[in-house]
Amino acid sequence: MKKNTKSLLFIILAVVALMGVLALVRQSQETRRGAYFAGTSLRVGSPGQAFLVNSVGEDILVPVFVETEQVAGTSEMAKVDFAKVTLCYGDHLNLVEDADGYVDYLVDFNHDAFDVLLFTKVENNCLTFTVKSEKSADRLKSGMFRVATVTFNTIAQGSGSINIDRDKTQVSGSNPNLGSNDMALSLGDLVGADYSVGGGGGPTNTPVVINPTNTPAVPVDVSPTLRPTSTSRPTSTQRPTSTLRPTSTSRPTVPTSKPTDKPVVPTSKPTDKPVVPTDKPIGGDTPVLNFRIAFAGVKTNHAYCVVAWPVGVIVMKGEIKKSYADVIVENTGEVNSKGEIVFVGSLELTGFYETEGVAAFIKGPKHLQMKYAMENQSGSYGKVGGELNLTYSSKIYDFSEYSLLAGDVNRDGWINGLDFSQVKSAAVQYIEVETGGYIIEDLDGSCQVNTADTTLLVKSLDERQEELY
Amino acid sequence: MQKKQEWLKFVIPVVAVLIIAESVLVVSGLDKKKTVANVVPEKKAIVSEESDALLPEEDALLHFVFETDKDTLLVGEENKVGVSLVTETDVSLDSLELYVEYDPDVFDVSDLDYGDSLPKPAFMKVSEDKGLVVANFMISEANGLPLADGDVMKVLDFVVTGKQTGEYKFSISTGGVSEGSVTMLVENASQGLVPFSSDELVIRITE
Repeated sequence: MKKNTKSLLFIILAVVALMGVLALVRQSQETRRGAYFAGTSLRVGSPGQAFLVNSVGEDILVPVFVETEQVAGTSEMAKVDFAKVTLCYGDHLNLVEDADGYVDYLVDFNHDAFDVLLFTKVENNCLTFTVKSEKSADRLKSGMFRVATVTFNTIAQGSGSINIDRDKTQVSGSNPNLGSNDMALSLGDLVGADYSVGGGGGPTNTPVVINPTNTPAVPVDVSPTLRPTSTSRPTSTQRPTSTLRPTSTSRPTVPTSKPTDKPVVPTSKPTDKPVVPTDKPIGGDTPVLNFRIAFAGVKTNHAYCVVAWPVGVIVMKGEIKKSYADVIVENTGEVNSKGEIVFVGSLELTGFYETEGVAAFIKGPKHLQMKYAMENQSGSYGKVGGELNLTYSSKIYDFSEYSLLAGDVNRDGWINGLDFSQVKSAAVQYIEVETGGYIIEDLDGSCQVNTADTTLLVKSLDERQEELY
Repeated sequence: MQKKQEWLKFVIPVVAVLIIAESVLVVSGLDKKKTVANVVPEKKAIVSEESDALLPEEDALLHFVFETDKDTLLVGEENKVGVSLVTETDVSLDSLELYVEYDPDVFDVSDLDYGDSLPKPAFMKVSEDKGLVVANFMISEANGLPLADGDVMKVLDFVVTGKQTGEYKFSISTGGVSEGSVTMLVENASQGLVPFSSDELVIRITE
């Protein structure tokens, strides 16, 4: 009997051991280092995009996109909070370091997805940059979105490709499985893109050049974030010597004047200060473009969150063009015939010496790029070239009757279903921001994303499609 | 008594072996889970790199198909052509943007209409200038347009009239007009692109 009891106890002990082993095995799976909780892929440019410029010296704006996959065992897409990307390119391209030896100013990261550019480094024709988000998990980006746009300068004729170095690229995110320590995302497809630098003189019907008709030939990303152009590279800035820069992301907020019980996102305006070209041309005055514009759907009765929306401006005559980012326009207090607020901007065209037959392309922070080529233009210009005669004085061109079409919230140069889905997703949550704040999906500047914004987007889509087809 | 002890001596090793076997099974099962997570990205390629190529059929679970009664027409004869979306998975769409390419020199396209399951299109037009039939649907419902595995949803139909003899095709555009005419399906849950495949419709026009 005693021996039987001992055997029984031994069996019970064995069963307990079995349960213990199972528990330990499960636990060890969750603590393995280097395991991926989902997959991701990266690409240079949009599908099928090639970067072609007509002449040496022109800049190429190269967007890098990431797309996350569904987290296994959940219905959620993986959210990204960190990306380290290494882009390798040919000898025809260059990244000009600033006086302190950095190229940060050439990496325009997506401020909606990330908060800080931690690191940039150029070595052996490869650029490595690291971006990080400090947002809470629910505000991290998932699906397909832009990581950053890199501005390369072309220094030699020829063609090559810009590729992503798999060994030096990492993406991590927030794992919805709270019991897991796996934060890394596995790298699936890494798709590069070709570029070609021509010798100048020929027609420019290329993806990265503004199409002379009112159609952006490609996602030309005139981003609202601070991105100096080739004519206004920084010359000197105070920087710490460490390669890891401080990660301060706090921005001033405007006190709210209306209560809200809806989800509120922090105010994160694209930029707070205009970039003014400073390098004066030698021996001569600089032409000025003064213009009045309107943002579609931005009306006086609700535009509490239209504060310092910056626009990108490209001026062009024939093959000669110059781009200027982050031009701030000011509210005039007037409205156009549709009741939309008229804004006025003034831009000293540093580095651009053409004064007659000029066309201007203007893009808002969440708007399509529009071509303005004649005084009092009230619709699509629909022709090549332009009729603007620039002066050095105070002449103001009025483009306010041909409003900037709203809806390019992913800033790929088009308004389509991807933008609609993004705006709708925010609209169904009635995402709000405090007065004076900024939400990219808030197309009418009402401080809340709602059906008015989706309707405005669809209207813009219809208007643009009517022009195209 | 002696017999019972013998029995226990047999049971204890069996239990031990079971423990080992079960542990091995559990560990290998966990490995399989990890493999699934790593395979996902490869299956989720969006639209093909080359603008004129479509995804391999095995990678796409949504398919645009052309439908017509006859694929041979006389010059001047009218015939109805439909485009449907066949789904092999449960999916909910936020948008459906369809661009059908055709040669306006050999076909007239008219009487464009859209399917009953779809909302009024944000934009729909036959562009003779561009040789495109364009239909953009944006789904306002919060949960998108639900499609179930096995659904066949009519997207468009239109009437074609042959203008000159020869063999000509209608196809789904995946790029054109400076890459604006890109057929795309956007999923509600992910707000991302959904892979699709498509066929072509070849119509022979005779005298």
